Amino acid sequence: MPEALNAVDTDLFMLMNGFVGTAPFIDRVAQWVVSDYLMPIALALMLIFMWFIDPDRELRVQRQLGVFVALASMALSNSVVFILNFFYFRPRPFVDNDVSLLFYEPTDSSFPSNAVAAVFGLAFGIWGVNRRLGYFALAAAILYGLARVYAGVHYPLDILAGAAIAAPVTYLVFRLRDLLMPVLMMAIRLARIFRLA
Amino acid sequence: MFTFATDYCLGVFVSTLGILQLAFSVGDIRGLLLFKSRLMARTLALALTVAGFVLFFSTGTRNINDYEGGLDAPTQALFFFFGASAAVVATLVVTSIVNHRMRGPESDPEAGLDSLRDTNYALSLAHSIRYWWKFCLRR
Repeated sequence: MPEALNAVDTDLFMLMNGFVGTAPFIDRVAQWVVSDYLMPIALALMLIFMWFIDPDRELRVQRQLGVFVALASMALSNSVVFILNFFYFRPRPFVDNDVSLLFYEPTDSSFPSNAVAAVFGLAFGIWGVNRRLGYFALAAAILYGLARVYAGVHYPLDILAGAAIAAPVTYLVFRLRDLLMPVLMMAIRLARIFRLA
Repeated sequence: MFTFATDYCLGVFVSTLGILQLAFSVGDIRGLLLFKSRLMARTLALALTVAGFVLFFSTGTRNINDYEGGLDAPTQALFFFFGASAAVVATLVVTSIVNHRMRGPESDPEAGLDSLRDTNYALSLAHSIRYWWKFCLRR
């Protein structure tokens, strides 16, 4: 990574992480938000919500296909990060800097953020088929990314890279959806027999 | 309270019960609602959804690495599936009992969730299975 970019990234990180300790309540909230469980569960619940909410059958099918897209883009984004980590390893911020850490010490590469790529994969997938719910999902994903920098787990560039991976991956999955349409429609029809779709 | 994974499953179970009730209320799927009143259904839904998170986060330290007792991503996905599936099954069973008087007309076999607007789940499933069973025998 270029030296100048690394320096700016580190400065931005130190600025954000420097606020830890000034407001204990915000630190507490950040600990919940940054957790491996809160945002992923919230986004997964949004998928369940999206599966059932539309009274109109045609629209409901589109949203149900969107659930599959969101899950696939989450898995694919994760896979892309996994492959990238074979070629590039960036140590976590707490390794090289004096950091106020609000999270445990992960051992995998900091760049790009795996968790953020997964969460943005879900959020972009939701946004692709339901704008209103999608804005909530994207807001949750952005908050998750910011919290991970604030908590000392990632540099800002790790977060941007995670989101930047998820966006084209989700677009690609949407484009490829038609190839899998017969299988996906079969799954929806099967669920319909059991009155679940 | 219990082990980390059990707490996680329990939290997901309770939150999913809530989000399902909210979705059924918005989607007007009356056969799967616990309360007919929209206000009651949505209040219960929001309370359960939040309760699941509170239950999980207030009963122990949750920022734990996976090799120190936390859950790695695949395990988390698996336990989410277990918790959410249990919530779906519980909702189907309980609402079939609560709404046993909802006996609407037999609907289109492809109706899916739409058949649950006037009919309870157990009856609607029975209609569907009976139709598809006869359909398979005819072939």
